[in-house]
Amino acid sequence: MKNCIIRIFIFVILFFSFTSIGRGEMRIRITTATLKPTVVLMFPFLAVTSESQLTGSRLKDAIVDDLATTGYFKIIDESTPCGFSTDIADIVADSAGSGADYVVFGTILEKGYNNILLNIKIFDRNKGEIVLSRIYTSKKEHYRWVAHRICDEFFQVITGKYGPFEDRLLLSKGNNKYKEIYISDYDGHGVKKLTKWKTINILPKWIDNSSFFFTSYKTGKPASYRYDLPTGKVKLFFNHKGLSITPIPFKDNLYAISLSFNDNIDIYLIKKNNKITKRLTFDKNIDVSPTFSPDRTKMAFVSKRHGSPQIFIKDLSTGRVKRLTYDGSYNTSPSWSPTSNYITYVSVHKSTSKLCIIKSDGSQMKELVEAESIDCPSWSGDGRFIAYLSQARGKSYVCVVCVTTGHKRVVLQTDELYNGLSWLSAIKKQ
Amino acid sequence: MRRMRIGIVCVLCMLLVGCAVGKKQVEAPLTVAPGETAIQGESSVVQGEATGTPFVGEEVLTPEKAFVKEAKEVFINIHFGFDKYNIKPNDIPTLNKIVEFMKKYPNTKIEVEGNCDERGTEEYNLALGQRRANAALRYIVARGISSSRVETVSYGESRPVDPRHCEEAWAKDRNDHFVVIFK
Repeated sequence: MKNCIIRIFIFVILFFSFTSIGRGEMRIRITTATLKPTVVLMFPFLAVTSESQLTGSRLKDAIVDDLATTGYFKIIDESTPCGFSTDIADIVADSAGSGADYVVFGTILEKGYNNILLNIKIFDRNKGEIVLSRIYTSKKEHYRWVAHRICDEFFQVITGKYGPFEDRLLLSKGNNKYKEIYISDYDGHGVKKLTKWKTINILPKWIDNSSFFFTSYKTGKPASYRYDLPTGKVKLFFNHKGLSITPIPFKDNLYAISLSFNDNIDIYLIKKNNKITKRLTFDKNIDVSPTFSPDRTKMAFVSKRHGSPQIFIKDLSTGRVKRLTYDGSYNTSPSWSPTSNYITYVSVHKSTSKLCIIKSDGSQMKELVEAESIDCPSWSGDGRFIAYLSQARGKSYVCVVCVTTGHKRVVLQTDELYNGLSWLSAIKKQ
Repeated sequence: MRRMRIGIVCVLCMLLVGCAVGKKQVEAPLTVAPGETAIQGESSVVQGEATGTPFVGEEVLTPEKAFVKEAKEVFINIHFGFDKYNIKPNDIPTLNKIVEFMKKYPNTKIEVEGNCDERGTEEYNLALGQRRANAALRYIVARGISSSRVETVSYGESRPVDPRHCEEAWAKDRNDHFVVIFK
């Protein structure tokens, strides 16, 4: 029991070290050495028909996939269902000797044409009580969404914060002539092509739950377009004579964008009506890749002002600019965690790239991943995971890494090229 | 392609005979593989015949073929070091030839496309590609060509010339590529 309490304590501390603003004061060394996995015993769902049994089996596999992505859990995959009893003594008996912290079990049946009804329960063996009890109905083909929803709610139960499993990714994929924008679930399933323009469309970036910006060469020059997901409509958002790179939302209907004027490439705030409202960086060299702190008081960006591309932070109230990265001669693609003071970025070396995180005060730099090539890191909405693009041996990959455990998973791969990635927290429930 | 040929004939007619340009008709861009010189055209619908057909050796070249041949010889890619956008001394002769070509054919415009290798990151490479295109623009404009005749665009790392993943390929990918546009 004592070990269990210590384990839960470490688990919760590591979660919250990444998921809350202001936790910067907590002096915690991030390490995976002390993180023992939480053990989850997964029983197959009791099914009446063979067809619902098949759906139940797929659903269980999807739950296992989600939990395995995190590296937090050790899954015991049972092959025979337990009895669906609300009698705690029965569940304790069925899971005896498993060493599990949580037991997942339930029933699945068909309801009407092509629908399923899932009754799922999660039992906390340490507390000795049911901690999650839900009934879901959905179309059979949406079983993966049900699995994601279960895992999101399970995360909320054990950490107090809703999980990232219903989140979606935007990405650009194609060859050296055409690149189109795609959307997928966070785990690479359900990939759908959104643009079919037969031109170069790159660097998609979420605006909100239902729209995103991307850069397109539709007219021969890069311009920013806004895609509305519910309607599929695309509108030209910002057109500029020189270079313009996909904007990101700032606040109050303002957006930050990198624009070139003559030979200067700087970061500006723009409005919807193609109007520049403010210049944010003032340097004769390259300034790109703005990303904002969760409270919008600071902006991290890439600048070549010291001779090599490095990450700088600008305090938006004082205007003071401070260099953040010093290790290596090529540090780019910063992305500020939506929930903390951590910034992820890519450190490019001669033949490899490293995905790193660092606190905005320059402390606690940590290398998470090393690969031939890495780009476009993007945080999950809960700040626990980072999706990124990678290349190795001629293939391109979309990967997801858990920040606390370092556990990584390839979610998509192609023989073509990926050119941009953006992760959106689809549902924000606390 | 037929319109392209007509366009080239007309351009040469205008150059050689000095006739006025009439109504314009925009042509679709000519598709070329990365690394090759592309010729794009806006052709006049005014019809005419070229005079003064040039000769190369014993072979008689049509005006359009001669023009394309000359353009292909002049507009070759220039290259850059990793994370660099300064013009290398060995690329100066290429840029000088481009300047001479544009002086010889005052009704041409060019687009300079700045490209990067796959190393590094997408957004930074877009900016780097723009600086590379701007470097060529500055050189050409400084030698008397109007800036209105030189457009720039950056493709960042989106259009690699060589699909391999090695220094030899990357050296080719870090380039300014030139597209000739007729007026």
